[in-house]
Amino acid sequence: MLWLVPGLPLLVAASAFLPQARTSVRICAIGALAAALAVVAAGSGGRTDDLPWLANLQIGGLGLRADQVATATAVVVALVALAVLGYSLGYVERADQPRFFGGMSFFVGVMLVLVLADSLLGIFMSWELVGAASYLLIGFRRDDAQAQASAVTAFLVTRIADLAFLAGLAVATLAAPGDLDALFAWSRSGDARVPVVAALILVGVAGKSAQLPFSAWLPQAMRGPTPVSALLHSATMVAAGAFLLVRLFPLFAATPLLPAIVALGLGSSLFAGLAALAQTDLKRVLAYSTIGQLGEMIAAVGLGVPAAALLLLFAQAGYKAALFLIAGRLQHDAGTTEMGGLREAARKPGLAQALFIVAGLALAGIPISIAFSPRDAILGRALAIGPFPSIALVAIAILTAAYIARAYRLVFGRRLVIALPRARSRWAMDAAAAALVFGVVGLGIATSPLLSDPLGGSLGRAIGGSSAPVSFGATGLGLLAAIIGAGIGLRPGAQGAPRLTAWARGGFGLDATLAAAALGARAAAAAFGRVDARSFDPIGERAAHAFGSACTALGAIDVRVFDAAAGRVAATGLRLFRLNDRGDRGVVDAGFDRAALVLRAAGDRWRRVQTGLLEQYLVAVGAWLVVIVVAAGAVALRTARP
Amino acid sequence: MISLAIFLPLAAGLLILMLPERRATLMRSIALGAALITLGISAIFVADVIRTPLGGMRFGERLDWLPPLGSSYVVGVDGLSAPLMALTALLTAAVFIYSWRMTEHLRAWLFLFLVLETGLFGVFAIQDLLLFYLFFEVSLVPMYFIIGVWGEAEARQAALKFFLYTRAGSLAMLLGFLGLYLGVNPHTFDLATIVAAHPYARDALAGGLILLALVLGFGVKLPIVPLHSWLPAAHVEAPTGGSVLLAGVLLKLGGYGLIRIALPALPSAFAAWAWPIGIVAVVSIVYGAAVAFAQSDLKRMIAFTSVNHMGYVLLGVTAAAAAGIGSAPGRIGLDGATLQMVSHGLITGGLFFAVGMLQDRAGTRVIARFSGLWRAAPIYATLVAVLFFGSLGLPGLSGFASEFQVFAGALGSVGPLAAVGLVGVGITTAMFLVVLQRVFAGPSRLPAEGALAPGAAHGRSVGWSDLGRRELLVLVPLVALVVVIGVLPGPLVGAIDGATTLLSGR
Repeated sequence: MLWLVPGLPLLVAASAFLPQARTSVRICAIGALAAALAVVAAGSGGRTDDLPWLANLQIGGLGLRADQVATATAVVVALVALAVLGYSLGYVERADQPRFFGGMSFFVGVMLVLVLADSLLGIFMSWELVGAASYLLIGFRRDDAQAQASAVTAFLVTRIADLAFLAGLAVATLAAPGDLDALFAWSRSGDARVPVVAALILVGVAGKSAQLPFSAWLPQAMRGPTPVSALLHSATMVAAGAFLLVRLFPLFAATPLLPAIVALGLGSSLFAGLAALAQTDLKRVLAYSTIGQLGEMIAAVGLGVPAAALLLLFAQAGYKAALFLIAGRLQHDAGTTEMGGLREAARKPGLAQALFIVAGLALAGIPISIAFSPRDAILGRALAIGPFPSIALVAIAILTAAYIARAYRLVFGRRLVIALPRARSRWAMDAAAAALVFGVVGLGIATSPLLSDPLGGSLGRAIGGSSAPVSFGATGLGLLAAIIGAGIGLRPGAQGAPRLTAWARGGFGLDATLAAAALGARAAAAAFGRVDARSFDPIGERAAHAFGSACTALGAIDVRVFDAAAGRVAATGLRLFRLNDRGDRGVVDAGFDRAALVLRAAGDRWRRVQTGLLEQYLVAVGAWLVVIVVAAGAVALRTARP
Repeated sequence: MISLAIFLPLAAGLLILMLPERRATLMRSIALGAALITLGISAIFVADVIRTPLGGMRFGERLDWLPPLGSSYVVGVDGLSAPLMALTALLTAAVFIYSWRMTEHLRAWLFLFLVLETGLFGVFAIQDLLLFYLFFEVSLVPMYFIIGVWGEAEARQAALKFFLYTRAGSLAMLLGFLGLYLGVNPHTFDLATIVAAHPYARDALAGGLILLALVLGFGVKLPIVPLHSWLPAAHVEAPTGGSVLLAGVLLKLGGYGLIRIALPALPSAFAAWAWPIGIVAVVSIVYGAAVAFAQSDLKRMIAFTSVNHMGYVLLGVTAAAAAGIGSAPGRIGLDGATLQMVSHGLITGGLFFAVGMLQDRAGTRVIARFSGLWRAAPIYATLVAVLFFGSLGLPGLSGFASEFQVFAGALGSVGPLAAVGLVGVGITTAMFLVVLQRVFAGPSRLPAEGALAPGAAHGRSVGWSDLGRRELLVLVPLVALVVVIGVLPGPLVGAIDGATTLLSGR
């Protein structure tokens, strides 16, 4: 039953390959996802049998487990994906829809496997497939060379990071084959390999979640269609990294890596916040914003509050997807995502501005959404631990509010336009974005710290880690930071030095570094190719040549030595016999003559062997084989005799 | 039953030789029928080894051949050989389907492929070193002619290169066999006896030298860097069917020989030399991938990925040698190496077919001349993309199942080497993605049709259409198997594991 959850979308993805029933793919995709959502929401706590993936050594296990963490995440993934698919009905050209909805179903399906997987092997396999799916979707427009290039970059960078994960997986699989419980039991055993495995997995997480130093692929991935970006930034792909840290928290908690995780997350988040402040393209702002938000989640796991990380993941899935959908809706009208160029489209009637304000407030950390209580918990925990993480978190909060306020100012200006959209296609888009925003805000109100404490609830207990009680100091500090940041962002004309801004816009040189690395790798490969062509190819040529000339030489020797010798023998014989008695001349002479003839014929035959006719080589091979067998037989017979 | 599978193709080939030239369709049908029957028989073998993995050698037959030499015709099938036999029969049948329309020297073409199949089945079934050598040679000769006669411009040269390299290799292999023969008392070529006797266990020098001979012999076939340069040359010149069998099965003779003979017969020597051999494996992995990345000819590129992929086979064998055949990393490494041979056979066999189909249409294989193939031929592009992803080791496809096991085994025994080997996976990924981007994506820009390559399998250009029915019949089963093994490798790996468990016979 549980296999239906990822299985239904995957089935739709497979059916998209069929030539028939193409037009219905989009309906199937939405229906399958809705059904999957119903199954996972209804069947919490279920577990499947392991599929015997590899039977040797009981490495076994592709099983699914719908515990609380997985169920909650799967529901969020399916909900966000549903909204994005609904939006795509209006956004994607009709002719492209079958392929698009098939690809999106694949994307969501493998993400659901990842969320529900009960073994590190299953997680890794779906993890890589999520990367492949995002490759196919970022490069959805096959004529767009730049989109293709960014798709390759996205897959390649994440996969290179995944190689570390693969190594970690291999070591962990040998040490603790089986499901996640077996892995956690092993991680408590004090095995020296545990921190190594955890560190290797962390590299994979950094790649997937576009943390430093792998971050450059994500802003480039903006070339893909907007619904793909919306999904990729919220509930799939990058979310997989943070989810995995939460999922494997018992493993990481057993290692001394937690401070490193905090440093990775906070460093990436600060970097991304500064870079986002320098962008001129709305989608790139949102991309760096995603890096920053994931950094906060990762830091939260490092700080020991994984439940807060998960909740923040849910929240950002909602509002980030909504922000992308709004950006795509504006782009649909304006034909660009440069913030200056969006102004005209932003003035058209629609809900874009209102939704952007609400989603932006949620992103900035104003206590209207589900994001507030985890933020609060993370800051509270940091304050309890030490000054460095606290200062970084406050700085991040200021930056976050500043860049989103700045983006709002650049796109919408001061005028407020709120009206219902008129065009039908825009209607679908606005409705999807609105559903996401209201979901996040509604959940936020339902779970606001005034009403309940989501982290102290059963979900928090299921994840483990320390619970952080609501502290008014952290709440106040966070609010203050958000307000300061928004003030900075809304003030017009706040520009840094142009060169510094340009540097920040390119991800502080990481974009250029990535491009240089790609060029370098190509050049290195080309050098390898030249080395091979120069040094190894000639070996074979030379050997063939040498063989040929050896054969020719043998032929010449054959003619000169054997032929001549045979002739000489014959001639000598003749001369001898002429001197002999006439009586026996007839017999002996004829015998020698025949011998000479035979020898000459043999010489001829040997010469023909070197004529290059393939068949005759074959005969030679066969003859050689016989010689070897006979020789071996002779050896054996001799040794067999006592 | 095994003897039937071995000699049926040969008999069919002889029958074809006796038919008059004009009965072309009958000849083709006989050839395809023989290949399909052997495919059916090997499917029975595979089913049997999956059902009872620990059943050891089965379907055994024994016949005295050269009793004074201690050499007899002993054949059998286990989890190691059955999948490779099925692969051989499948690819042979696929070649016959693919080249159905071929007319040039048709009789010889069919005959040589059938002889090749007999030779390959013999190698996989035989448990006697002398006959192993014989069948090994039998498989070499038809390939020489296939490359030389039906190949392209420089085919003669390439065929000669192939012949010289592999002959030198099999000479080394034969020396190794003679060494093993002399190492047991009473002298015998019987593999099971040799393995049980554990020759040269205390003579490190002799054991090492014999191992060197075997590794050189099988290494040429595999091929390992620096003995690889015959491979790209042969592939570039060979006709499509030749390339498919060459990469799909002939390379496996090297890996199979290492696993079946060298490793169990000389475990201690192999353990002593595991690290140097492992370094060769890793060099092959990284070097093969890097050089493949540099190629501009699609076929040459795929040829070099074989160097990379067969490097994983050698790495898996090394893991088993270093950790011991019976140990956990050893077994998983060996299982991975064996599965890698099957997987590589399917993927690379399919890729060579795919390149052939491209060449049939365009008369060229230069990567830079293609663009936007996805738009022109979506079915073709989709199938090839699956094979590409399989080749770069994407989970859910067969390449991952095998490479993961190889790395798991190697990390558990020769860890640093495995870590370096992972670089090869990264390079392969980059290469395939770049080719996908150049050839399949982008605006549709294709070479003019009609420039038919010499040796094109159809005898005529098929134009810029998507895949025809016959081409689908060739490619779809291979792709389907890549997916099935990738999603559910369990049964097959179980069968292989049963064989590797019993491999050392102790």
